[in-house]
Amino acid sequence: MKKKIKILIAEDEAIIAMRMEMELKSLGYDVCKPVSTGKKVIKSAENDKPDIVLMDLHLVGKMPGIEAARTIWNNYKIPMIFMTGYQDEELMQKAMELNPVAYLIKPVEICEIEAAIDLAKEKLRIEN
Amino acid sequence: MELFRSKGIQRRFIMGLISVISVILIIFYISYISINAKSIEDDLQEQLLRASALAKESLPSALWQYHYEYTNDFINSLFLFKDIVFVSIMSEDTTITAKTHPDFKKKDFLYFKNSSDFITDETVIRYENNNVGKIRIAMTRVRINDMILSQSISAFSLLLVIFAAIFSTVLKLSGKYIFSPLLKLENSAKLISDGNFDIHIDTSSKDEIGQLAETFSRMIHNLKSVTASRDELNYEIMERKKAEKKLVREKEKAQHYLDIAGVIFIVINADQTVSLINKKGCEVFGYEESEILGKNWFDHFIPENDRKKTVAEFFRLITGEVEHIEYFENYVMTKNNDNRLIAWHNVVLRDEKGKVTSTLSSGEDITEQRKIAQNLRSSLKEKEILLRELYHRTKNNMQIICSMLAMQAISIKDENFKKILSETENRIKSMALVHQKLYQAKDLSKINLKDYVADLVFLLFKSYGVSEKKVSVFTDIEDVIVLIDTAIPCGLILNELITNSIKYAFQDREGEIRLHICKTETNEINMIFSDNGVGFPDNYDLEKANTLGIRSIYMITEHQLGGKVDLKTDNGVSYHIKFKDILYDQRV
Repeated sequence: MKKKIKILIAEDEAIIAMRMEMELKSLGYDVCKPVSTGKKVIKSAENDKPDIVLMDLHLVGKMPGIEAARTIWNNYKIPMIFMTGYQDEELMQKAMELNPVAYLIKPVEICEIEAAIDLAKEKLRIEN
Repeated sequence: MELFRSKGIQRRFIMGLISVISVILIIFYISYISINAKSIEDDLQEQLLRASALAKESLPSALWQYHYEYTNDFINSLFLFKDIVFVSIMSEDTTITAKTHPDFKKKDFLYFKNSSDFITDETVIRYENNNVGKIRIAMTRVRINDMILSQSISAFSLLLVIFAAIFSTVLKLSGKYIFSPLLKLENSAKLISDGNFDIHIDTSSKDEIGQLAETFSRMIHNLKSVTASRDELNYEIMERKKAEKKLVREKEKAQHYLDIAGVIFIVINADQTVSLINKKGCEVFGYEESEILGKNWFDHFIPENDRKKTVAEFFRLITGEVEHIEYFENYVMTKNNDNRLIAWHNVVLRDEKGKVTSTLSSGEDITEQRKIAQNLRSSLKEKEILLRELYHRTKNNMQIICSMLAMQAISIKDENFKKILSETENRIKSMALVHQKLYQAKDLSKINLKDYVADLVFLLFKSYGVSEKKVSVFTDIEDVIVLIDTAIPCGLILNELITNSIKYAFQDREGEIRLHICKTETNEINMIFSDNGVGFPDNYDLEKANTLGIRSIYMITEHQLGGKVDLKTDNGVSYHIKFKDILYDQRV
């Protein structure tokens, strides 16, 4: 049986995170328990070992999302899909340094996320 | 006679002349009388000696023989000498005969001998070496005195005549050749002293006086030139003084203006020293005028951080690189070590040759202004951030509502209810899109319908899973900038129009949607939406239709926007919606 792609959702808005989880599960993905802080996303990345991280760069807590993303990329090289509701050039530039699969501006439709996941899957395939 | 009335050199000359001539004439007179007296005296002596000699020759034999008659005759003959006044012949100390001039009766020889008016002689008469007697003769000097008297009178008269002649001649000549020209020169000098230079001086004479007159004439000429120059100079001095007074008045006036001016005025010389500062400047910087004037402006009053750039600007002006610097800001140190930010307007000042000598700067203390502006800017920035965050939060909240509706829909089996939830989600998304656009917009109050509609079409097509291959969208949308109050109803109207076309117009066939939006010069927004779908069913009664979408279109247009909806159903549907964009004032 083919292994399901495991996705970690990092989103500060609980309802948005819930919807993503529901929609991604309905699309057949294995979804980790969504997290809302930078520390939690790092911990989850370490413990749950997701294949893809779907991450809002605006998270709860002192650690900025971009720092958490950097740690994950530096330590685990997990492909990441970034989302943000803020059009911040500086943040986008920092995010691009981490070589994300996609950088999506909210509101994000599930079809956009699906397309980004497809790209991440392709990337994983090439790397493996 | 004028000459004698003179009290000056002429009088002294006359007095001197009289004295000299008098002395000379007196000397001459005395000499002349003395000589004459001597001559007469010698003559008398000679007569006396001759008489004595005659007696010595004639009397010896007579006396020897005692021939006294003869002696008497002899005496009488002696009296022929008119000056003989006494003769006596003595023999052995006895007077044998004597005769006295009647004027001197009873006078003896001793009397005559002792008197200075007479000369006497006593001669011994010898006969063959025998003393036979002696003769005494006395002669009067009256003749000398008479002669002196008479000659004195004549001599005095003569000398007086000579004196008068010499005096008048000398006087005339000196008057003509010396004093008259001198008096003329003196009068000329008086006239000159009175400031009259228009006089003629006779310089024809070739002597010293003439030379003096010529010198005097030259002097007058020079004086005239000098006086003319002096007059010109005086006039110039007077004019200058007037100009100076005027200048002082102007300066005082200017200083007054400068002092009452509400801005700082400062003049900085090429050597960077301050030559003028007004009261306002002193007030702002907290110094007395004397504490600033003459000091190097940049070294003493400009903070070190600002000094380099300020001096550089000053050099641009003072070297003539620029004529003025319209605006320049720098800090100035006050006496209390407080730095004040001054906004300067600078121009150069030139001398009469056009050389730049100094700079004139007017300055305004903008320290407080700048603080207020900075506070306002930061306050405005804060407000902008807050507003942006508010739009962001509103959009997020709408997304959360959408997500909740979407999640709710998943658990619902009823397809109609699912559709209703989906449509509601889209309506909310239409509004959320406005907030998203506002958040992204530089201006936080307005959005461009062109951008908004493009995103809305994309959102709805995506939501309904319709590809643009099936339904083509042709948009012709101008840059129409609207406020949030217009953008939200427009978005809801367009949402209904597009949704209806996607849902009902094309069924299983391909079709087109066209949308044109423009704004007229009268500020009327026109939205013309059409599709080439199936249109309304033949028996469809719009009046009785109770669909939320269509009702919303009419309600929003007419009720909220005060506009009109023009619906045509030929070859699909066509809505012409128009409304004035003047309903709401700008709020942000």
